[in-house]
Amino acid sequence: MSTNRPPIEDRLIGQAHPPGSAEEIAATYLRSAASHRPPGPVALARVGARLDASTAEPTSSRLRWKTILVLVTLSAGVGGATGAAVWVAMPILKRTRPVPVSPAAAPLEQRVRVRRGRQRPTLGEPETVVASETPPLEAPGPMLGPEPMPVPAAAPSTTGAVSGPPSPAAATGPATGTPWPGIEPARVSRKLARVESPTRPAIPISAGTQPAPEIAQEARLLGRALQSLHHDHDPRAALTALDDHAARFPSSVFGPEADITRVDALLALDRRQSALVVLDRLEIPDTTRGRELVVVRAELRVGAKRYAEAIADFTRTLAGDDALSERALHGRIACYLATGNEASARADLRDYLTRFPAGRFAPGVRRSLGEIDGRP
Amino acid sequence: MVRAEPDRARSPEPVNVGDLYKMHAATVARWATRLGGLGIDVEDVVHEVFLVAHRRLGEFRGQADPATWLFRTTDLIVRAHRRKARLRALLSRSVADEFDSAQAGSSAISPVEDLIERQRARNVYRALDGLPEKYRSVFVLFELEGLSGDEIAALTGIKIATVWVRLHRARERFVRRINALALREEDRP
Repeated sequence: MSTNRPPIEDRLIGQAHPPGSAEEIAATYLRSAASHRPPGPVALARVGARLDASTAEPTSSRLRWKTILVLVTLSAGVGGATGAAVWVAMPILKRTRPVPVSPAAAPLEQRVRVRRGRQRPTLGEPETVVASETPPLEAPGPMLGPEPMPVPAAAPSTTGAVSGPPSPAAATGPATGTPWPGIEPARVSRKLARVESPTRPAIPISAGTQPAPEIAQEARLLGRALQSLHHDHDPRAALTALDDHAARFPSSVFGPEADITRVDALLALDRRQSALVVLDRLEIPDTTRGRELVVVRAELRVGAKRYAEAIADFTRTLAGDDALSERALHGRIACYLATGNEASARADLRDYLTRFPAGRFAPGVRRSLGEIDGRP
Repeated sequence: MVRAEPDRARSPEPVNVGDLYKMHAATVARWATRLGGLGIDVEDVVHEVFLVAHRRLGEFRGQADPATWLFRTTDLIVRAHRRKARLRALLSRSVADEFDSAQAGSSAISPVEDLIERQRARNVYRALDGLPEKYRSVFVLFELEGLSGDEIAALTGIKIATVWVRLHRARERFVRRINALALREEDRP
């Protein structure tokens, strides 16, 4: 390595540079970074307390983790071995031993298990029939809520047969479809009619058993995006899922939810300009979450120097005396000061001190007000 | 700016992590702040550094210099945090929160000054992100932390001549990058 470099005498910050030079610009920026303060004594005391707690019982804590690791490994091994044994044994058992269950005597859950056993020739085949044991539709995600998926009229309603009291129609069974391959529909319905008591509460039809394929796919994609973003903390994967969703369902009913999730993912990646583009075209609802999004959009617009639009957004969220309103008012002051609108800035500065006298921006606001009032 | 004085030479050798924390916590916090920039949780870094110290107290008891060891640990942990920060979802503490927390720390200046300062600081760390790690830490210690070449050499364990070479190269690259970012900022409508 070359060693003929002379020692650097002074820092860029400490030197006098020609005005407008590259070094002067760099020094200006470095001064701003240098003013970024480290945590103070209170924060360090907090960390010290955390450290005390963390180091109080280090051995037991490490032991606990080791125990968990061993247990997980063991259970994975045992589970794997059991799975393999079942995988090998089940086809043989099925061939050699018919299931000895009397449908009339068996409880409904057991009967359902019997049906499923007959339905599946091998283990691992996807379940498509039994509503009471079928898990709900794969992760529709919190955005989608409990909204039921429509069941297409053409879909064979196998759950309908077990959902209501016996009726002549039920007794004849789902004559138009074959719910369980290899089983005669009429026979199944007769068994059901015998087993079910008229007083048995109806088993609700699960919305997730036979959803419309497109909506199910949409829900699955959005669910994957939400999981990637909020659970896996992987915004890139979330964006990939959202891109996939947008390509396959350009006029989706979940468009706004997808857009909001996209904004979240873009902000997580610090892609503010892209987030602003999405927010610009989004119709933001008048909800608490909507108010937050409006403030975020306003702050992004301040960053893009679109002050007029930012002021409109901030103004929209000023009502109330919560933290969001405080933030909005502070943001609007910044816009007025940036655009040289001193009269409005002065009014907002006073308004801020009236509404939030002990607010966290109060010292800066007082200083700004003093500067403005001190001018001729 | 407060000049970093790792008080290792004058302070008695710490016998446990509590003493070590009392003597060096503020310095470690400052290093983490300078090296990590706006995107990392400094409290978490400090906690992690001293947890590692607690586990490896024997390594520098009577042998290595605690401050040197702590700096290298801090540097490594900050790098890991920076890598994570790029992938982590920040919206649970959304960008708006980032906006807030940055402002909350600097409420003594006016809102507009604050906006400008914050944007500049962000650009500094954006420019630093483009530097190789070995240049970045030397540059930060010299320019932001205010250490001398000798102090940097002692902390990082490299030769003084290497410090100057890295500093020269880092400075050239940084000045070029920060000016490009500043120009882009000016061009923005």
